[in-house]
Formats: sequence, C-alpha cells, structure tokens
Amino acid sequence: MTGRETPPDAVLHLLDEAGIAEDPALVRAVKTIGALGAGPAPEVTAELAQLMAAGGKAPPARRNKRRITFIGGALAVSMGVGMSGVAAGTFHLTDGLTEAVESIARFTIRDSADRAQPLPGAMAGPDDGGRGVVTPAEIPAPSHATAVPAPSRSVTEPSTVPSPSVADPSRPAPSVAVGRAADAPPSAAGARPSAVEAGPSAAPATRRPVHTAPRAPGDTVQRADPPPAVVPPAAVPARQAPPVADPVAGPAAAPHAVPRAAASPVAPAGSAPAPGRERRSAPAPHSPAPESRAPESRAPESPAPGSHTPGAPVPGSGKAPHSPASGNGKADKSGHEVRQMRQPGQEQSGGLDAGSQGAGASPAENTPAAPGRAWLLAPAGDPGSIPSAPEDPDRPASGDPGAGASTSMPAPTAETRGAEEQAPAPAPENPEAEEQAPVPAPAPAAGPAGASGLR
Amino acid sequence: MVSTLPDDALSRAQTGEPAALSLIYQSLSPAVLGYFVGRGSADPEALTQEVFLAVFSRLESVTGGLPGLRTFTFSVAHARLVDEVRKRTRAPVLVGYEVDGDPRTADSAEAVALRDLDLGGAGGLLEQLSPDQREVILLRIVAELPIDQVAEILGKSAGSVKQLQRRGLLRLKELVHLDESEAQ
Repeated sequence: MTGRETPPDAVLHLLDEAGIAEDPALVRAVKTIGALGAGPAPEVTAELAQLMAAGGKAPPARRNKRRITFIGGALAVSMGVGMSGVAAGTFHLTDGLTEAVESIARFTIRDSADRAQPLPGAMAGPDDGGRGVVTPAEIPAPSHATAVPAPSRSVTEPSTVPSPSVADPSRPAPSVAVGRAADAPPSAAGARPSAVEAGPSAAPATRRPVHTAPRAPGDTVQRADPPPAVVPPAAVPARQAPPVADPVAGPAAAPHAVPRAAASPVAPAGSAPAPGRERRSAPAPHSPAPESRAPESRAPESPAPGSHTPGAPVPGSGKAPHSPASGNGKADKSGHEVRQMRQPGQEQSGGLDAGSQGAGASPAENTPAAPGRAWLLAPAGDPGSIPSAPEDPDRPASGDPGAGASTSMPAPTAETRGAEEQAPAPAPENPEAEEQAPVPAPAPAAGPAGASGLR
Repeated sequence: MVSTLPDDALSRAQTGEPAALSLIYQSLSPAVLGYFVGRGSADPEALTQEVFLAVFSRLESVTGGLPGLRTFTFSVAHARLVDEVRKRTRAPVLVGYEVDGDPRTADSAEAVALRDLDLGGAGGLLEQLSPDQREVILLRIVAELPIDQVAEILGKSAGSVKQLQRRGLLRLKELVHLDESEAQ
C-alpha cells in the first residue's frame, strides 16, 4: 500500500479491539489511511532548523524586552543627569557659591552676635546689635567709668578703636560701614553702658538686652545722673544708637550719645525702621557729640580738608586736637530727610547734632564752628574772635528728645573739657549744607567767606 | 516509526543534541503531516513546523519516554489544528472575484472517473466519516496511539474513543463494500 508497511497484526488488533470481523476490503482501506503518515518528512524551515541547531533552546524573547527596558532606563537616566548638569552648571553657579559662602559667614557672625546678645524680641531691630548684652566681667566699676572706653561702632576706623568693638575688621568697605555697623554683632563695649546704667549693684548681675520699653525723655534725664561716663540707652533704636565712643575721647563721648538715644521716643526700639533703610538713614549713632567728638573717631572716609568740608580734620594726622565734630551738615528744616540723605562718610560726623537739627534748625545756624576750624569760617581775624556756641549742656534741642538727653550729660572729663573749651562751636561738616544754610551771625558762612579767610 | 527511534533519543534531545532532535523530527513529522492532511488542513506542512517548534521548545518538560513524546507531539498537533479551524471560522478568507485568477475549472470526465475510483482511497473514505470518527481513526491508525492517549488528546473517555473507533471502522467497511458493489 504505502512505503511504510503497517504491521498486519496492528490492523488486525485494531479490528479485534473494535469487535469487527476481519474483512480484506476493510483491511485494505485501513492500510490506505495508515499510509498518510508514511510519507517523507517535510522540509525544515529556517526557524525550526535554527531551533534544532541551538539544541532546542528557544531564543529568549524576554531578553530582548529586558534589553529594551534597560536601554530605555539608561537613556532616561542619562537625560535626567544631563538636564541636572545643565541646570547646575550654569554660569551663575560661581556667583551662587560666592553668595553662599558670604551668607554662611554672615550667619556665623550673626549667630555669635545673637549668642552674645539675647534677642529682645520682635522689637529688636537689626541695627541694635551693637548694644545689648553686658557681661559682668566687662562692666567696670562706676568709679572707673571714666577710664572705660566707650562703645565704639564699626563706623570708626577699626585701627583707631582699641576697645572691643562691634567694628569688625573684616567688615567690608567703608561705604557700607554704616549699614554694616548696624548689623554688627554686639560687643562688650557696646553693652557696657547698659550695665553701668543699671548701677554698680546691678552691673554684675546679668546680661540683659538693651531693648526695653521706650523711655520717656525725663527718665533719661534722671538716669543721666550717674557718673559721667555712661548713661547708656536702655533701648537704643538703630538710628538713634549711641555714637561711637572713642577710646581717646573715652567716657566723655558716651554720655552725649547715650541719653539721647535712651530718651528718644521718636524711634523706639519697636518702631525701628527696616534694616535696609536704617543703614541708609542712621547718621546719629555714628556721630558723636560735637563737644565730645574725638579726632580718632573720624572714619577714614571723612572728607578731606580743603574739599568741601571746612571742619574736617587734616588727613593723615589721625588725631586732630580739635575734632570737627560737626553736626549734620545736610540738615535742613526737617532733620528726618537729612538723615536719609546722609552718606556714610558724613554720618560719622553727624553726631548728636543731627538730633538737634531735627528741631528745624540747620547746623550752620545752630551749631557753632569747631574751634579748630573756626578760623576757616571766619572771614578774618584770629579764632578767638569768633563767637562760639555756648557750651551749655542744657542747650535745648527742641523736638528731639535725644537732644534733650544730651543736655543731661554729665560734665565731661578733663580731657574732653579742654577740647570742648577749645572747640566750643563745632562747625558743620557738610559743605553743601553750609552753602545752603546761612552761617549764624557770629560765625560767618563757610562758603566764599571762609574760603577767602583761608586765603 | 516508533521503533526507528532509539531509546535514548529523547534523553539526548533533552540535553540539546541536534542529531537527536533531527532524528525525532524525521520520525514523527510524517505522521504529524499525515494527520494534518487527513484532517484537511489548509497548510499541513506549516502546521507541522509549528508543532515541532513547540515540541522542541518544551522538550525538557516531556516525560514518559518515546510514547510520552509521541503523545505530546500529537497533542500539540491537535491543538494547532483546532486553532486553525477556529481561525478559519472567525476570519474566512474573502477574495474578490477575478476571472484570470479564478483557478476553478470544471472537472473532466477522466477526473470524475478517477475521483470515483479514489473514493476507495484514504481521503474519500475519511471525508465520509464524522469528525470525531475521523479524529479517532487518524489518531489510532496514523499516529498509532493507544486508546487512552487518544482519549487524553481528545479530552474524551476511553470508552467514548472505543465507540467512535468502532463506528468509524464500521462506516469504512460499509463504504468499501459500497464502492466494491458500485464498481462491480
């Protein structure tokens, strides 16, 4: 029948199993059907041949999927890394790093400042960092108050300030000095007056924040009774912080500044303006009183003599016997605006006169020329002929409680007294103000007349 | 067929020996092809290739020696055939009529005579059986599988398979005698 001979027994067995009698025609038909599976093997396709050659191992289809997944993941990761790198690798990165370093350094300084001075609360302004904490060890005895250098500010030249000052030598440029001084950390010197104010008994007690409730001017006057050296502000607002006490001027400088600031209801601690604004408009704290301003307290950026500042000391001397200690030369009828217009270099010599100028009187009108430079203002003649402003410490400062506080200053020390006697009439420092405001009658204007006097 | 395969053919094939695989293919593929042909598959050779692709891919899971391999192979063949039938049912081929491409021709007298003669052949006889009878007869004669394995492949009981086998053989007997009587 077919190539493959079906065993006869198999067909017969099949017929027997089915219970069918053997029939030659049926046997022949069964053998014909059985011949269907006796043909040649069909040709092997390529896929089957590959499978057979591979030993029956089917190609792992999931491997390709895994590979695709892996490649996709790697691509996504690389794209993410690239985008991150581009985002982080901008040219602002270096600036950002620099700013970060600066901010970290600044925070470090601020942190030390905060540790030294407990934060008085929400009333604390950024500019009152210079005076807040008094350590008992730093509090001198009342009897030695005159020998204790007054707190200094960063406005003053660090090299000329031997006292532990807020002035940070690492502080940047003088042009920013005022603002920096506002943020300067508190120092023992800055806090010293507060402790002295508390009295000898309270001095070693605690370190307490400077800021308390604003005080009335009268209170300040009462507090000014203690020794001359220090009647520091209990709450010194930023713009009314006491002036830098010069080591040379010593305690004499502090009394002028402190009472005024302490009794300043104009800008109490809680009403301190924004830091940035204060930095621009805080002339008073850095300006010692005209009577007590020492030449060392002048900042290096003080205008040079001969430039438009008749009362400026001679540069390079570093110590002018008759400090200019002029008032706010830029003060006009409204002292507030003048303060905002004041520049850092001018703020140093602003002194407490700024407060007195706030009363509406221009410095040229109210402030007599400093004796050391009075001859500059005089049209002719010797300085002795120039009438100077009265040394009356009770000189009223209308409108400015700080000025009133300054009237409660104790008597200056011998050192400063001599200077005051020699410089009874501090001259305005700002030439522009001098030009604009007429010089009081006793002291002729420092404009052309002064120039002519120079000549 | 079964006797032509050595006893260690399966074990060697499971280890991945290509020669053993080729030997298995040469031994079983004709029966598989005959099975598809007898079942009237449209492309029996392609189905045969698919069957062995599946068998060789799962060769490691085959147990029972050569009979087990044979049963497994025809089980896959039966599954493939069922898939093809279902596929054909779901998606019949619809081709637009083209005169030039119409291969249909009218049968000549000789073709009709030969076809009548072929009625006594395998194809003519199987076509006159029921599907179940045909399936059992093919698996029993072409695949040379025992009743229990055929029952396993078809998902029927052994008694059912025996009954189908018997009725199928009786039907063949009638057809053969009918053809012989008509021929005479």
